[in-house]
Amino acid sequence: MSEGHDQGPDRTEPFWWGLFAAGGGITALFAPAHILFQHLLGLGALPAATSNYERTRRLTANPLVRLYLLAITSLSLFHWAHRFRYYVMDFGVMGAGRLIAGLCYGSAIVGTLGALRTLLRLPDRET
Amino acid sequence: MLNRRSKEGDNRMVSEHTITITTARYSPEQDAEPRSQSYTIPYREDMVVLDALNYIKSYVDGSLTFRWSCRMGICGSCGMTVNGTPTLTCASFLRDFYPDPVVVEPLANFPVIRDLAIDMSDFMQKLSAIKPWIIREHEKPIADGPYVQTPAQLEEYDQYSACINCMLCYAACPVYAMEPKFLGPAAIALGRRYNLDSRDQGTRERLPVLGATDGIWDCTFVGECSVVCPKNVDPAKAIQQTKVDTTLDWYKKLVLPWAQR
Amino acid sequence: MGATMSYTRTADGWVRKIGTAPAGYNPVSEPGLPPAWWRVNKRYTLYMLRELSSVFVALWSVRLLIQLNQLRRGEVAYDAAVAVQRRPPALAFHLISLLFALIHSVTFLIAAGKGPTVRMGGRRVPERAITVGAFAGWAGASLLVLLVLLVGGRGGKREVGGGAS
Repeated sequence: MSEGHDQGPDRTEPFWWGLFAAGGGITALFAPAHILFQHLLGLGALPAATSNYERTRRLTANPLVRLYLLAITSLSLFHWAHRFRYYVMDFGVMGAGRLIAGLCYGSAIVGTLGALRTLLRLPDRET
Repeated sequence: MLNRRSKEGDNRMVSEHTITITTARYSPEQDAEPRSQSYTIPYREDMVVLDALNYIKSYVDGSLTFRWSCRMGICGSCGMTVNGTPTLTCASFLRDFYPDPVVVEPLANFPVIRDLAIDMSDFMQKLSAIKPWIIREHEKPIADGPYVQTPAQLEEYDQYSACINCMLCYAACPVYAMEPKFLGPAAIALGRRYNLDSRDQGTRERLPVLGATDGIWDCTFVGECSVVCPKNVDPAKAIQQTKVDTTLDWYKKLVLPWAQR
Repeated sequence: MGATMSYTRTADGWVRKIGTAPAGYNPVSEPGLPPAWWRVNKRYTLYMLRELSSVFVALWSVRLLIQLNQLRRGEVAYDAAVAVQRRPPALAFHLISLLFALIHSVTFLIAAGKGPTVRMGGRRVPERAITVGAFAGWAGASLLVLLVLLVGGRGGKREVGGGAS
């Protein structure tokens, strides 16, 4: 069953793994706080900016905030893509590796483009 | 009690207590499928599973086939599946199971040659592939004296050098179970051991094997390899470190293609 | 220690068995791991949950983008989108997402301690120190998010406080 080990180094895998690691890191650090403070407590108990149209608009007008939002959404999608592509193998799906990888990374790329579009088209702050 | 003559008139161990050992039996020439066989043998609380297997082979059923050697956890020969867990049978005490029966099976994820002895040629081939020796670009002439290494330099790779090639990590790894081409924990940890050795200059030479798709990249960091390792090699850590280093090198080459590693 | 797979390759194929004594030896001749391999011990199960968490984290980020998209539609649409979050289905989704985000954070930051080899002042930083640092970073990042949410976007002419109706 053992074949020769002369495939050579994988030239693309480090790229995807790097995105996976970066996505895992940024979501590990920031995502729980967003969910807890923004989507749960921020609805009433906490005067979170994101529950108010004006404040959200002003906050997201900031280019640094937009950059951060692009980073965290895009990287979280690439993190999911890489992880999910191997996750299906844990369920015994060993075939169609290239297809599954293509679908996963493809979705992440599409999602990133969507994020870019959304963030570029956000309203500017009111003057 | 220890020196009492047995009923059979020989000097086998005797004890008031007994334990049941159920072992896998498989002889390719005779059996279509593995089967199991149970033996009830004398039990003493200082016995390990290997002692039980040796008792069976010596006094009950000489056809039982298994590997062992040092019986002290350093040769790596006696790895088997004990009650579902990959273990060194010389390090697994019967008293941890007594009075329940103990099920002994061959090491998981490897072809079975006979009974509890497995075919390890896949691992041996992978081990050679990562070149587990010091690789030099330029050999140091003998006249220049020995390679000198500080304690700090030794510490860099020391943990990974403890591997005894027992292959328990391969038995524990679900990736290896599903993808037999995967290089596997021990081979990668040993590859890293040499890459980290200050006397070694062979990292680039090992990259085609370590950095291959079925090298480090098949690993999804389940981590069970490090849990079952009897020598605390922590191959999972070795693999993650190799992934980080390989990725950083990849980006470095991308950004600064003219720089040497 | 929990059980791992018990899985034997014979000359013709694979014979596998899961479970521990006294379930007994029960060979099944089929290639591949048994479907429930990850239920055999706690660490395998946690691993599968950890991998699953990436799905929820990705769903959250998509959800974030959807909410930002509502911003373009004006105040009424945005307030309506916020109001939907207060309903039980959204609350349930966010609670589950939080649970998985926490699983992701804890497992990832512990794993992160194993990856890089960090050196400070010539000596290698021990793994535990890196992990503690990572968790400290998590606390700091969370605090930063909280502060920005509390303070952000204030100081305009038409500020309406707190949550919308």
